Order: sequence, then C-alpha cells, then structure tokens
Amino acid sequence: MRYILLGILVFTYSFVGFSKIIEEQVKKISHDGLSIVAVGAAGLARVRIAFINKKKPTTFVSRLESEFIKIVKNDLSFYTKYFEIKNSDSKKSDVFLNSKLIPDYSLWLRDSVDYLVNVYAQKDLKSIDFIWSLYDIKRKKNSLEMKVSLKLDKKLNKLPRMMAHKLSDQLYLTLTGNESVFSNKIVFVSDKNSTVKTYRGKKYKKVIKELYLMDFDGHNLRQLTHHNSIVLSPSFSKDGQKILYSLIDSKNNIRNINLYLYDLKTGKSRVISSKRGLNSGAIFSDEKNKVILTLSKSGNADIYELNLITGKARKITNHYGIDVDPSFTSNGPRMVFLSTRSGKAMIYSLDPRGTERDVKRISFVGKFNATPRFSPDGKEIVFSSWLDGSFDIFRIDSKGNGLVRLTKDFGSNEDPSFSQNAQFILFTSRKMVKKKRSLSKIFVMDRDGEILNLHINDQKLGDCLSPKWSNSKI
Amino acid sequence: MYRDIASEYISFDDKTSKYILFACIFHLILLVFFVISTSSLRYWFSTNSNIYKKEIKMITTAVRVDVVAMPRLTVKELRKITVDLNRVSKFPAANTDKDIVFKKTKRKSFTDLLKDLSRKKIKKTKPKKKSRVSSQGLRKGSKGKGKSKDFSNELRNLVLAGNKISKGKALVSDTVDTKGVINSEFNEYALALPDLIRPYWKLPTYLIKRKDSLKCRVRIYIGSNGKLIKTQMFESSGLKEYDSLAINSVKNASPFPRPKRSIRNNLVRGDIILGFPL
Repeated sequence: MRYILLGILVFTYSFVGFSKIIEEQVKKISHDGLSIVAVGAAGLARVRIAFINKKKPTTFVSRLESEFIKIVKNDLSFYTKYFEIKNSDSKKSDVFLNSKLIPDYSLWLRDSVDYLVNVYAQKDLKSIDFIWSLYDIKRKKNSLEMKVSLKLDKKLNKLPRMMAHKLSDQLYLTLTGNESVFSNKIVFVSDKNSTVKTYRGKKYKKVIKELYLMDFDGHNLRQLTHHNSIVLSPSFSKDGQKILYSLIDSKNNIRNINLYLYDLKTGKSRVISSKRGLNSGAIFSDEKNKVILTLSKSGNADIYELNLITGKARKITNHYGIDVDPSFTSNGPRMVFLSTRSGKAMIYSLDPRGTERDVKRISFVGKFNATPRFSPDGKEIVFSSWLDGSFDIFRIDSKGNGLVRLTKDFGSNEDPSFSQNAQFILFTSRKMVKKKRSLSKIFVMDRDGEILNLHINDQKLGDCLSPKWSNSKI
Repeated sequence: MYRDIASEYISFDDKTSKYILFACIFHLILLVFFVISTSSLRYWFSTNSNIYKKEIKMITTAVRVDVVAMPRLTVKELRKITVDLNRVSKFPAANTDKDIVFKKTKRKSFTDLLKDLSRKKIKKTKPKKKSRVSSQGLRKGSKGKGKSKDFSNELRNLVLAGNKISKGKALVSDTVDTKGVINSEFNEYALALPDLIRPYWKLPTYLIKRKDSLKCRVRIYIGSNGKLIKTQMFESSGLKEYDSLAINSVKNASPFPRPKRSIRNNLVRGDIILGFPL
C-alpha cells in the first residue's frame, strides 16, 4: 500500500514538472522567429496653433493689435516644419471675462487645435498694454501670459517690430523649449551706393560696397558704414555687439585690404590690422580679445591668431598652399578652413591652439570648394562648391561623412552660414537679371534645402554679399 | 570465483532492499522537485518580455556609400525618390508606366542618327540596333522579367551620380524557419515596413526633447491582403501618449503591400515586432 501511494506521488509530481517544461517549450516554439524591425527616430509633428481673429481694425489701437498678430504669425511661419498656423473665429461657447478669454477646450480640441493664442489691448492715457495668452488645449490650461506695454507718443504711428519679435521668441521658447532666430540680426555687404562716373569720356561704374544690418526677416534695414570703398567679409562677435570686416583702403595710391572693427553701440569703426597684403576673412576667436584672420604679410596667405591688445600675430596654419576662410567652433576647439595644399581648394580642419596641429582633410571631391562654415555645435559644415557651371551649397558632417547637396537650379549659390541652433542657412544666390547683368540676393533655407522666405530681397539694394547671422540676441 | 564474491555483496536481505528502494524513490522525488523548481522559477520570476527577448532577432540592413564625386541630387530629391521607389517596388505597378519612363530616357546620339539613315536602305542591320538597346538595360522592364534588377538599375541610374552605393556586408540577419530554411522574402517585407510607417511616425516637440529616450515595441499582425489585423503592445515605453502615437502610426500606414503567399503565415501569426525607435 505504501509503495502504491509513493508511486502515485512520484507520478503526479513528475507529471506537473514535465507539463511545465512542455508548456515552456510550446511557448518557445510559438514565438520562435519573432523579428524586430526598427522604425527609426520619429519625425516632428507640427504644432497646430490657432490665432483668434480680430474684427476689422477701425481704431488706432485695434490697428496696432492686428499688426502685432500679423508680425508674430509671420515669424512663426518661418518654422514651417514646426507649426501649422490657423485663423479662426472664437467659438460661441468661449467666455470673455473683462475681455480675457476662457476657451471652450473640448470644442477647440475637436477642431484639432493644439494651442490657442489670443491677444487683447488695454489703453490708458499714457500707454497701451497688449496682453497675450497661450492656451494649451490638450492640457486645458493657460500656459503663457505676457503683458507688453507700449508708450503712447505723438511719433508712434507704427508698431516697433522688435517688440513683436521678442514676443514670438517667447512663444517659440514655450512651445519648443528652444531659442529662436527672431531676435537675431543679419549683417551683409551691398553695392547699393555704387555710382556711374565718366573718365575721359568713358562711362564706368565706381563700385562702393558698404555694410548693412537688418532683422532676421529683412525689415529694419540700416546702413552701418560710409567708407566710400569696398567692404568685405563681415562677421559678428559672440555678444552680437561688434562686427569685424575688411576694407579695401587706398592711401597714397597703395591699395591694401585692412581689418576694421565696428561697434554697434557707438556706431564707430576702427582699424585693427593693417599689415601688408591681405587682412581679411576675420572671425572672433573663443578667447577674449583674439581674432582669427588670413594674413599674407609673408607673401603667402596663411591663417593667424591676432591678439587685439598686444597686436601680436601667431601662425595657425603654416603651409606653402593658400589657407583662407577660417570658421571656428568652441567644441574641441576646432577650426575649419579652405586650403589649396592638395592642389585643389579643399576643406580641412585643425586644432587652432597650435600651429598645423591635428590637421584633417574633410572634403575629397569637388572642383572648387569655398567658404566652409561650422554649425554652432560644430557637428556639421556647410560650404559651396562648383558643380555644373555654378556654385551650389552642400552640407557635410565634421568628420567628412554624409555629404549632401542642398541647392539646385537656383542660380549660383555662395556664402552659406548657419544660424543659431543650426536650423537655418543663410546664403546668396546670383541670377541673371538682364542679358549681361546678374544680381546677387540673400536667401534663407532650412537645413534640408527648403527655401523659406523671399521678402529679404529688394531690387534697390543691388548686389548683396557675404550675409552673416548674429548668433545672439541684439 | 568472481561470481561467488559478487553474490556475496549483491545478495541483500529484505530490509536492505527496502532501504535501497526508498532511497531510489527519494532521489527520484528530489530530481522531480529540482526540475519543477528550476522550470517554475524561470517561468514565474522572469517577466514575459525577458523570455521573448532570447527568441527575438533583429532584422537590419546596411548600405555602404562611397563618395566619388559631388552629389547631383539634393536631399529633397533623394527623399522623394526613395519613398516612391519603395511604393512602386512593393505594389504591382502598371507595365505601361514603366515603358513610358524608359522611352523618355532613350536618346539618340548623332552617330546613331547616321546609322539610322543607313538602316533605312539596308534592312539587315535592324536586329543589331535592338540588341544594343537591350544591352544598355533600357528595355528590360518591358520584358516583364527581373523586377528587382530593374529596381536596382533605376536606383543606380537615379541616385548615384556622385555617390557609389553598395550593399553593406554586415548587419544582415536572415530569419530561419522552423524547417531551417532562410526566409529572405520575409526579411525583405519586414524591412520595407519602416519606410512605409515612418511618414506617420511623428512626435510633438516635448516628447522628442525628453532626455530619457523613450522606447516601445509593437507586435503587428498583418492579414493576407496586407491589411493590419491587430496590434499588440509588446514592450511599453511607460508613457501612454508615446505608446498610442506609435500604434496610431502603424494603423495610419495600413494597408501594407500584399504579402507573398509563402510569408503570409508568418505575418498572420504576428512574427514582426516594430521597434519605436529601435
């Protein structure tokens, strides 16, 4: 009897155990051959923003109000990949308490709106207050409220654009967590002031190129220099308050390219370097009071670091090839430049703390490459290269991989430069206007070559060259 | 003599034989307990996904690009081409369209024109012309053979002015059937899915900017007509919104291309897991 009981016990235990094993095996077999496929990084879903429509502007205040909205909308439309902007009337069930809006969230959500923007103005005797509210529809809350006041003056007939830009900057920061380019400015060279003169009965054009400054969207154009000569290759300092540029000086019938520094606060410029030959292509170094530029005092163009206080120049490149167009990034630090040391104009990078230290060749193709510029994070380089009878703009990463073309069939495109956050690329495009006359204009594209806005271009400006962003708010 | 000695040792009395039997049974029970405990511990104390992980294979592929000249096509153009070709190659396209494309690309040089003039008089040379055209690979599509070859030819002609693309050597794993046969058709189908889903796989900025990289895996069941039967959250990211956006992207991308008969069982069984992003 005892044996029988033991036998049954053993049998049941072994059965349970084996059944578990079999169960697991079955599971294994049924899931055998499962394969994972990586979908990859997600794209960016466009944020849908609705601006509540205003009634037809009749009073001065309502006119300012609608102008305000117009500028902000235009600013946000710059980031077409991020935002989808809608216009809509307020819902019937929306409540206005002292002209402050309490939206009916469920109705707006049904209209597939992510954010709602409303603005209203309050007028005092001395000033107008614009109160902006941003409503997060999904989370049902007021995520931003800003008050901007404008003093009432007799001179006031237009809304200061910078005020609107600052507001759109704040909106952008709240929505994306990033800094925008709305408060950045663009400096460039234009031959607007060129004159036609006669010499011994023959007409000729005296080319005058001066320095100009404008907002990121092409408004508020302002002439900075009045040298009556040719200005070349400007570039901003880090704080955006100073501009380096070169100028063709002709004193005592000797022409020389000298380096100048313009102060935006004082509006004055002074000579920094006037060594024999080239003093051009200058950019600010990461260190204070140091400038990196191309000098040809030794007979060959090389890149130097110039100490603004002591006036001493230290060689960064030392090669019999021509080395020009330095661009600097604080990551590393690293400097990218153009050199003919291989026989053709190719892009190289090096460590600017030494002389010819850690030189790496980045481009291996292209008939003629020009103006390599680092992105602010130092990960990418944008440059122009000669292809099929014109210059076009290309992008490559800082290790020399991932070469892509950005422009095509859009004239001859040169002088690219990255904006803050590397979201936009500023460049010039030269196209034929008449049979024998071409005109160079400034354009902006996003980092994938989508050309964004064309309203920078003014026919009266003439040839616009060497545009550069200020990578800080001014 | 040996037998005697053995019988001396082996011949037990009843008591000792009982003990031996008990010992045997006891050991057997111990063995069973050991098996049960190991199997059940593994079964209960490990999460389901961990068991699956050991069985899952990652399908990936690589393309090598050698830069030999400046690229002629822009980023925008390249993106359009890759998407279009995927669609075309997966869905049965009308033959007529292809023919038109090839006719457009056909160009005659001056020497060919001269030859044509001469051919008008001498009919015998006509076959030669045909052979030349086919050797250039221009009319392969019209024959209805070698679709994949056409596809690769198109790709080579269109994309490659500037970049030399070759198939990567590493990172390709083929799934193996229960019979041990490499199922490359299944791989091809699975690898085409990300390109179809990616246009719908979008996140708002606050999810993209998150420092902790979110990840989820969705198991998909595809019917024999290519339609999505159901989705199952295989590994959640821990964030509902992220998971639902991932599932929605798959739903929006459906219907997928009609699968070949040989791989239908795998797809209905839900052999594909989509990794968002990996």
